[in-house]
Amino acid sequence: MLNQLTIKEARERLDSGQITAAALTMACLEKIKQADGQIKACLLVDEVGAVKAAELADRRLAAGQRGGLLGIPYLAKDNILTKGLRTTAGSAMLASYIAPTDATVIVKLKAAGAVLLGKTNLDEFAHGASTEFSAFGPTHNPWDLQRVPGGSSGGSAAAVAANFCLFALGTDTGGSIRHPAGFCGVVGLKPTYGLASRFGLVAMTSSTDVPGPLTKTVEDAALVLAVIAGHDELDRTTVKRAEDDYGRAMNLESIKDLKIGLPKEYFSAGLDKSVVQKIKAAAAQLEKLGAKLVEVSLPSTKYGVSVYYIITPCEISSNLARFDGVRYGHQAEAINLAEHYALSRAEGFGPETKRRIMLGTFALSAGYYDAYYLQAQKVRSLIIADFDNAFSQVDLLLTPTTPHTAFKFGEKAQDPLAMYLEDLFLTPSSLAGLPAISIPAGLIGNLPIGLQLIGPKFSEPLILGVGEKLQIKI
Amino acid sequence: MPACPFRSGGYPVYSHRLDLGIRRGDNAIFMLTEQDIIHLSELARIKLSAEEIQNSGPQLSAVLSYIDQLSEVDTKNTEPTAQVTGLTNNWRVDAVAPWAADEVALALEEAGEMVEGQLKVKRIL
Repeated sequence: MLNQLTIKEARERLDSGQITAAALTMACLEKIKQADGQIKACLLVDEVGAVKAAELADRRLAAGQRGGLLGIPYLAKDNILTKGLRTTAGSAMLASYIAPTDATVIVKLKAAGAVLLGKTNLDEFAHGASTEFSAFGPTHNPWDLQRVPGGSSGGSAAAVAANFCLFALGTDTGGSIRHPAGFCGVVGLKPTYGLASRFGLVAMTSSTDVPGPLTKTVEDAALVLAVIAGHDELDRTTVKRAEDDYGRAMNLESIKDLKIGLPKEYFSAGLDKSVVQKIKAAAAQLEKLGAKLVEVSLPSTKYGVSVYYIITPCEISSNLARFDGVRYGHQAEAINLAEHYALSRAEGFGPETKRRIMLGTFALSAGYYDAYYLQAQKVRSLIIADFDNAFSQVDLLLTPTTPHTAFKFGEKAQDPLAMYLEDLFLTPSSLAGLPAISIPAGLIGNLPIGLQLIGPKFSEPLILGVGEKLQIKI
Repeated sequence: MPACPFRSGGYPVYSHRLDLGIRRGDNAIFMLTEQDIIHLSELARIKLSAEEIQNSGPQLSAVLSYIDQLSEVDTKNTEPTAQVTGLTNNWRVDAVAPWAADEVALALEEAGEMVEGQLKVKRIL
């Protein structure tokens, strides 16, 4: 079953001529055909395009070209623009939208010879933590079909867990790569803000959105990051810097002398004991390898979700103002322009997107701006200061990804606040723009639970290197 | 932090400012009325159904009540953060770049009715 291979395993076999990209791609397409009826991870499968891309990759391989992702099949979250292929962002608003350009990350993957298989499901416009808010119906968790895959990159996480592809792209604004990675038992990397280009992502929260990989192993996340990272003239928030060798991070000889911080606020009394036990076991593993464990405090952690759910809706209400039913997207029948806007948006947007636009509209209203948006931006500074302080004492932070394993459909869909609190451990690092990775920490019952490593800006080599030591087969 | 109109029960200072008339309830829980929701939906250019108007009040109120915990944080000496890259004045040349004709065509296909190269929209009045 070639689709079960990791990128690294497939890489060796492709390079030695043992397998072809075409065969690898066919194996993925077969698996999707066989299982996606139940999992519903894919919103679009481009068989013709994938086969063509695989043949091209095989020709490049035959010509002696090599590269980390040459001939590797992948799926992309459907809020990442793909030229000529429908991009819906999980919304009825964009149900038939075809982008005129590729996102920069797609351009880079294409140039690297990766094979795009199709697009994956998500909460509408990436607003959610369960993929239940997709206009095209929910994705099911491959570990238990009665449960959500997490979100918002739930389709990408479920697809990797179900071996539909060798890796998938997601986007993370306040946990949307790491949360479903934790629920589906795969690796999810949120890069430092500004490391990988946002050009061509359907904008949600421009100050925290980042694209990143969901993979089967930590090594594979490094391989994908090496391709998608880098300055982009089309995204002025990407940072110009010397390239890191993400592959070399895997050879991290020793983690001796590293100080690993355990933030006490992430292990509060209410946290499920079985979750604590898994994370503590990972900490013990690091200690055994010579790292020093240090308890640290990030006192503003408790404000993370509040800050996030002011800043995010504000940026959403502004970013989603572009959906006016004129230039693209759903168009309603109306008699005048005002009604055209109001009805196009009413019919095109789903409940959570409307809620967030309304929240943002409220928080940005004159008279309330200072009390909400400005105050949130100030508390955001305090959250960043907490991390700065912690990283003056330790090299990395180890925390749970989520407070529990995957929940059942419908459990939180009617309670927005409960859904928002899913991101409790994930929003602070997003607000600070820090890199973080979720790695499977084991099973609780028959469901995966993730651990999270958070590092200072641009410390991807370190979190990948340490993460690799913590990998366990689940 | 600046006085929150909800907390003080006072009205915003300037007459052009929005006043949703939202007040904190006795149990310190925000209550958005149906009128507030309708007003917000008009500002957001989204026509809500009767059911959506009914549901939105309690849902948004619950979120706002939770978020209200931020008012307890002392930020007197704290600067706001709008972005985290540390980049400043990242200029580019203000020039129109050519765009491939096939991509222009794809982009225009997504739009509504075109008349002589212009997008036709509904009348305003």
